[in-house]
Amino acid sequence: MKAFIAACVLALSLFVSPAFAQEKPVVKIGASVPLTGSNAHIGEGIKNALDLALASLPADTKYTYKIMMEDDGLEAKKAASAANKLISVDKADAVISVSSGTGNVVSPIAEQNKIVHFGIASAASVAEGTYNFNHWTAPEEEARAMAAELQKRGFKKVAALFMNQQGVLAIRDSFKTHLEGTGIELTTDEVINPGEKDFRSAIAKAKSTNPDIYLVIFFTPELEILVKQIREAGITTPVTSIEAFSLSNEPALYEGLWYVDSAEAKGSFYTDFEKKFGKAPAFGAPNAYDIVNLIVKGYETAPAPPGVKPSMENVVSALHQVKDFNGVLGPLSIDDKGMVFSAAAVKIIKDGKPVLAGTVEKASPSAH
Amino acid sequence: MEYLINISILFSIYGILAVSLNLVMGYTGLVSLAHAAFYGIGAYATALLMTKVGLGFFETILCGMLLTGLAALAIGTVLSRFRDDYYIIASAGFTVIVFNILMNWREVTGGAVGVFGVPRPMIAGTVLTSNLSFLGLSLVFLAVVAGAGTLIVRSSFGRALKIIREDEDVALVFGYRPLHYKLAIFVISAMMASVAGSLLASYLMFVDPSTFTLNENVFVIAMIVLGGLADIRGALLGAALLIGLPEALRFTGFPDDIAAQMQKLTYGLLLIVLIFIRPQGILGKFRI
Amino acid sequence: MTFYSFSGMLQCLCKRDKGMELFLQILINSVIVASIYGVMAMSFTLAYRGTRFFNMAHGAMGAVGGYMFFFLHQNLSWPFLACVFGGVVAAGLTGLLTDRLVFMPQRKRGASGAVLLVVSLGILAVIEAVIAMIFSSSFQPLAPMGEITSYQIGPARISEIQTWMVMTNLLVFAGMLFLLYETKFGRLLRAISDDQEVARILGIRTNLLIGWMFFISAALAGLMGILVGLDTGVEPTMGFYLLLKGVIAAIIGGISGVPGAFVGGFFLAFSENLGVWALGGAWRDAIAFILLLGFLLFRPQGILGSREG
Repeated sequence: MKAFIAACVLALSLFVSPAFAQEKPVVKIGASVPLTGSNAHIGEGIKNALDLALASLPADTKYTYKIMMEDDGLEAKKAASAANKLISVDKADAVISVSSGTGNVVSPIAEQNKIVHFGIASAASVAEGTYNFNHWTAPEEEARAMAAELQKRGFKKVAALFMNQQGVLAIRDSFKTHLEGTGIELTTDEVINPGEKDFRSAIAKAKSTNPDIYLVIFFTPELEILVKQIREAGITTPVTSIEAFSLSNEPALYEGLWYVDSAEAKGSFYTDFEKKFGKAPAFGAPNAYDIVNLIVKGYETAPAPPGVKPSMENVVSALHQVKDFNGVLGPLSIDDKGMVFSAAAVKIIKDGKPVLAGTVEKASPSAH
Repeated sequence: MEYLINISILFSIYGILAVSLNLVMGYTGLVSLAHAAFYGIGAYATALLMTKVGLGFFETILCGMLLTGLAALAIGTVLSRFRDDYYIIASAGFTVIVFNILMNWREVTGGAVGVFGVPRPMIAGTVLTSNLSFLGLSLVFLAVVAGAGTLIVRSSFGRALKIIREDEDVALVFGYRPLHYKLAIFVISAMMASVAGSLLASYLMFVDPSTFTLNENVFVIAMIVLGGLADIRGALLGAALLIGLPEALRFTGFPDDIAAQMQKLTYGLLLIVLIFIRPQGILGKFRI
Repeated sequence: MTFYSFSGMLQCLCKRDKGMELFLQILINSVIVASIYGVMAMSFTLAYRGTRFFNMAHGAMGAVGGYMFFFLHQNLSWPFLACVFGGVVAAGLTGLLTDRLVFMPQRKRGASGAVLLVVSLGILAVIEAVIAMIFSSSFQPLAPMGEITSYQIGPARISEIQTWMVMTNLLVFAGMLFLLYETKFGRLLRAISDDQEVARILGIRTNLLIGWMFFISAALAGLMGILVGLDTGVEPTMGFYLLLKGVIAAIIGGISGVPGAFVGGFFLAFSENLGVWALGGAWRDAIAFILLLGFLLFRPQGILGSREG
């Protein structure tokens, strides 16, 4: 028995000893993302982006950075236990969440444990509190860009179909206020539950109002099914969206269509990402990449005694001082509410890939 | 530590749900799929009354119980017309309808956005911000619910329920009116589920409709079938096992997609196997 | 000739009336959805006649069919019809297996409807989990999303696969009526659904017949799963939705009759689509269940109200 215990202690000490050899303190960044369910590709993309960001850090950082992943299936309740596990079991120094639904749950947990939290979410509420930040192009900015683009292209009657989901509804509310005074009429304003597969009657209803463009904001797979059913209904009117075309795995369905997207990442990010992982970055991946660099920036610039990690308060105030940081989503500044501002972009699907619409001929509204 | 506290809070919330549903399912023999609706009404009552009206947590629990009680009275009256599988399907209807109201009545419920910024409870001027103190409170509620459940099943009222479960005609001979008894226990059970909802809303500081679905209801049924029909301790055991299982799987190192499915596979298999080898569940005393 | 003049007339009508066009499209949409609900309801009813319990695992057979088709088509590149056949047979065999392994032994023990329902929920969870572990839990379209073929019928439109759905519904309806009322097999099936005890005394091998019922019923669900997969796509949890709507259609039509299930499917689909038009797309499921509760309360025997097949 004694020998057994001794063997255990020996094994344990062998296992633990490399930790003592480390010179630099370790900063652990935990991410609560969907690794299961129909949004698992989002979590995978973010994991890859985090790995890429870590791999491209300079060698002379003051601290060693580590990434930990936890699955939340994009569900609020699972996000609470994932965040708690990351913070209390894995001792994360910073956490990252994706989506408004989970971000709103992780925020109060991070605030309470005094841990920096970066959301990738359209809801501004995710950034509420001292320790919370949000890096996503705001719904107000995207809605503004959509209203401006519709006006510029001369569309007058918009039939809009929205998914009943937090981020989408935030865009919808803001879009409606941005339409005021533009002379653009919202002929259909329909909200449909996630999981719906049959949009045919909603489409027939929208069609009967004679719109000159359809605005559809849904996630995969509802988006693909909806656009397919619009085409099956014999509708040739243009279809547009906010963000959603970029997230779809059937881009061929939207060939030639323009839409408003969140901030565009630098070309080098895409090529690096594709080279390393063999596929294009998914939703939120560029943001996750930037977030790692922002957190590193915060830690590296926060004042701290040598060989010791800075206090969370110092990290937070260092983060609030970030101005025009060279991120892959453009020059990034963090305001006093913890929001990272990035500008919306207008894109078009060309040969199955989203490209910036600046270089493309403008589409004219087709008569029905 | 914080992590264990989180799991324990979830356990106490599901424990309340399992004990309350067991009163209806195990002791009275009614397999109800309307329980998720009552859980949801309680959660939204607390979330909305605390954020919009500014009531205290304990006042909202009472309001939630009252509201849920009235809803259960109406729903229970309708359900009393059905038996067996028709009862199950009809009760599922109420969960779907309540879910859709929560999802689509945006002006009141916030729709899919949900309600966030729900405060933590305040006792004697101190807000229970730490999870440890919240765990204390939720365990007290669990103890009260489990205690009330035990009292009910041991009382003459509880004995009447069991007679009704076994044979309604016999119950009539003894002078019990099955309809009234079934309705009474249905309302009591719904009010307990409402308490679980209130705790969830204040714990997560956030509610949205996605929690209050048929799947959630089936999950609680699995807890009862596993832990034990018509046994209060059995319901608690079932809740502990099914809450602990997925959390344990987090540590096994399986890919997450597989781990999530393994959880589902395990509880599905448990349901099937238990019906064969031990239809009353691990600690149960009754077979449906 | 009649068809063209009819559709020409409709087009005339609709130039005058945009509302008429909308109504016709909603009617066509209802016919499409009615086909899904109808086949699910008829196949559900078939097994229900013999076993008298709500088999929640029935919907999962749709997912089995859809995924088997996906596997044969994608991984083994079988010809299209062979894939359909393979999917249908796989679903049928899975249905038969659930009966032999779980439901038949439980029946012998005299288990109540509620027990069988709870066990079938367990089977549903197992099938969904196994499919997700093999194929991932993501949604997958069975047909290329970009290929769109649809026909104009008067002012309304219907796609090729939807035409197949409608035809399948009609064929299943006719086939089931023929099977139940014109064959010896059907007479035996009806005999055991009337009274199993008497049937057994008369020397009918009830368990063999119930096995066949399970096979046919699951195979039909599998076929619908494939068609739904071709129309939109498959996901492991698709069965529960298919089943719930099928059960509702069966109940509001009159649970134990094939014509009832057929009519119930149409009635449910039409009510849902009218509701979507009047109230908005978010209310579809609520409408279905309110309809169910209304029927259970005020007309529990269903539209056709037959207690016998």
